[in-house]
Amino acid sequence: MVKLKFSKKTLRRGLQYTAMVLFVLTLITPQFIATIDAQEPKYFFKITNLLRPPPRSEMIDLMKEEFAKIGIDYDCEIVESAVFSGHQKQAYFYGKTYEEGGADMTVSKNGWQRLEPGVGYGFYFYSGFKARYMKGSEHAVQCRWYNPRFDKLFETMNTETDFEKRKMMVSEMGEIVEDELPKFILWFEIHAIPTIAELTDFEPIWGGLIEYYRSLAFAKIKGKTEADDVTFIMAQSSKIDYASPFWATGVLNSPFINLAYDMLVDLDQTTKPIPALAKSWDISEDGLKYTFYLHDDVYWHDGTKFTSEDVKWSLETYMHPDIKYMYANIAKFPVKSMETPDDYTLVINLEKPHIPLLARLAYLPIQSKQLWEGVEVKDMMGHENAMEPCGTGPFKVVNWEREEYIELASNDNWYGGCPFIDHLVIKFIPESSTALSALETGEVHMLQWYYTSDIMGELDRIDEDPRFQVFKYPSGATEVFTINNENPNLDDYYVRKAINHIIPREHICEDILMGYGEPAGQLFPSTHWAYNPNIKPAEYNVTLAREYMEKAGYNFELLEPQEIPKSTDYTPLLAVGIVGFGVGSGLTYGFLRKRKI
Amino acid sequence: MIFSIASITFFIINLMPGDPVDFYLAQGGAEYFDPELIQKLRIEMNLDKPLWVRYIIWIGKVIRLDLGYSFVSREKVADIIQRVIWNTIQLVIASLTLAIIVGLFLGVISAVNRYSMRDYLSRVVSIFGISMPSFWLGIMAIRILSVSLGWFPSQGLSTFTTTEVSFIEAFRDRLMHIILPAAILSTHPLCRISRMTRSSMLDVLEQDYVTTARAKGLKERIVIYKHALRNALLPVVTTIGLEIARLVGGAVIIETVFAWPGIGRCLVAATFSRDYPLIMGTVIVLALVIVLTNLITDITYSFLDPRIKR
Repeated sequence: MVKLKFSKKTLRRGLQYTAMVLFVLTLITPQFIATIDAQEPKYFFKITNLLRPPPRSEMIDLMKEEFAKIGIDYDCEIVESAVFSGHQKQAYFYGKTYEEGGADMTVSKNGWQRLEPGVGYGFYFYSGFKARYMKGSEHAVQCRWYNPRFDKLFETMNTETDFEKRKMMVSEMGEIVEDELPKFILWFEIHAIPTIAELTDFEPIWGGLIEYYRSLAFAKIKGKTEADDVTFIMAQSSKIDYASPFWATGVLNSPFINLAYDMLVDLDQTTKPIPALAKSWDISEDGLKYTFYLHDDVYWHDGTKFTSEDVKWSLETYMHPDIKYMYANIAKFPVKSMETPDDYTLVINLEKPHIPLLARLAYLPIQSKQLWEGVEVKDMMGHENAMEPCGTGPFKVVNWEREEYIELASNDNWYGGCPFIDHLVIKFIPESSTALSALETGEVHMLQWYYTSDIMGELDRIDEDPRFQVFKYPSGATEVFTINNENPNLDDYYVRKAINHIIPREHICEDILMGYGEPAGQLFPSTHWAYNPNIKPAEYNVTLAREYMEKAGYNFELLEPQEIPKSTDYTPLLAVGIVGFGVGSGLTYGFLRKRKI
Repeated sequence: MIFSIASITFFIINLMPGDPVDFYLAQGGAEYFDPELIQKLRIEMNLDKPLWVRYIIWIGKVIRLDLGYSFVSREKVADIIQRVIWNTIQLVIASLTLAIIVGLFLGVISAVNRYSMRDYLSRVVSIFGISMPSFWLGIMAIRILSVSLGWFPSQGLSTFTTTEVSFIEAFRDRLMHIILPAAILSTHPLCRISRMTRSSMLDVLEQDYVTTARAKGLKERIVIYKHALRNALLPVVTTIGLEIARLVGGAVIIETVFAWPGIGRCLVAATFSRDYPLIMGTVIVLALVIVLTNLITDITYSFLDPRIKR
């Protein structure tokens, strides 16, 4: 063992050197950072994109060329989901632009799948007119766009009991959005579920992100009979972390929740409520009293009988302040009281009419009261009951290998009839190409939709292979550019109009999404009751877009071909309102000049 | 040592942009933004406190061997690690065994037949193995060996079955599943060990005692494996010691590609979900493994080289 010995002199000198280095560093660091900042080119806006699906980044690269035609230069940043959401939060709550730590424009999905249009519109467009006067208030406003007429329509719509009137209101809201463009609606996503060719009677619900797989309860396998022991394995990209809906945080856990649990009501393709645990219901004239008549032959997976008390208790728990996760946000309705006149009747009394109630109930899995008897709500999280899911759904959990798979067995007692598939296994395979290989080797029988964007290029090959089939379904999500209207460049009606016409929707859907997308101009697809036939996707038109840019006060001039100046060269010009851009190989240089008003 | 690694990691992880609450929001979708909810979650996870307070709380718990609860699944971090670490150990042991046996063998062949066709071939293989990224090798191996040829299963720990299987059947199944990931994980260490063995053997083969051994009329095989290899092993053991650390690191990628439920995959998932307690727990365990390996390597020296014992 060598002992290190330092003389006092060496030590002192060492300290002196360290202090000097630190001193110099403190002096130069701010300058250094400032230089880097100065070199950062200024853009018209910055797009924040998620790390995962490749088609989005390809689309953004492609559009750069298109946007240059109207003199707009943007930059794109690709980040992972936690960072992405952080940017969004800053933008939604405080209206911060990218420069201030928020976002200018994000590429995201707006899921309308199970949402009543009123709720959907509220989530995605609701400007919260009052919030305008409370800037900095903690009020999430997705687009930071303010329109009192829209807000008024939204508020009356949620209490309007007349269906026709509501339909007109939705149409009007759609038209306001089409005209004012608080966000750009891009396309309806199409999801692909590759599976084995033998699977029949599988009909995923139109537009369900998480409900697709519930149809497996009715699916059959060619060449097998009821007497056979049928095992069906499905690949899922992330593992299941929590079995209880009380603290499910994401959609990826939900396929399992939708197989093991039942809801009070269900929704059909057009988001019309249809019976589930409740076989029928009455709504009072004034829309304040909902009476649900429940099935009397439903059993929990542990064999106990399902009653109206379970429903009452589940809904109360979802609304409990100690439940803080995803479903807690859905269970927000103005409930005055809940009564259970008998074991199979439930009455919900509301403080004011709330039309989205049924749609929201279709989202909330009902849980067993008996199972949780004596457990305080605050102790539920991490409780052992939560790790042993017990629902009323078509499949029950028999084995849950936390890191590998979850095994579900058919529920003989299910009120919809015993499923044909005896063992349904959800296997956790994070890597898309591995999952596809596993399908090809026969180790799994179905891939969930979540892999679609990663394996798009392979899907045609899989579809042509006689061993497989690919189910293609318009998903419950619409792809959008969410814009922060507090960005000074985007807060211009005509600029937004111009951008809307320069997005090549058709081209993107055909070439980049390889047909797994359909151009959209509104949130709801044609099969939805709230669809407005008058709203068409904006056509791609450069001339029109340029006209709009000119209306916005940008004087568009194309100069003779010349070298693109370095980014720093035109940065100071921005101060007087000039934005530079480069086109193609860097031979052309044009610029936009804001007209003096 | 472990303490400082853990502290540095704590700060790096906490300074990363985005926090667990942001991840929740990203998962749930934009419609679930609710300031009240966000605040509640932040308080529950102690995220409302300043960094140094969180650090003190955390370090206090770690000293008491309490790794805390996962933010995502609400399970004890120690339980999660306990569940996955055995899978990683299996994988690492399998690939290390493969790497040592094949690596030493290739290295010796290379050194003995210096500048021959075998030597060149083994060196080309080594260079190829070191240069290719393991995730690419992994995907290629799956495409060729399991999809096209159907020799091995493509992913996972075992084949799902509802019927009872005998112990031998289960063992065989596990073995088939481990071959591909272990082989791919072992490529880098294998090549490094083979290169190190070659150069070290070349040195030793020129020593006088090897000539003496040959002069005594010993068989060539005994000269090479007993006299030369044993003396050439010392630097190789150092390499192996270092390689174990790399193997554990490489497992992060291989486990994700092959859906192998080990500590590496757990770490990747935890990082994306900003599950701070789980990340920290995994890092501490990995650091512990690496420190222990180095200790074992040092102890092994004394067996190989009696001079060090003194």
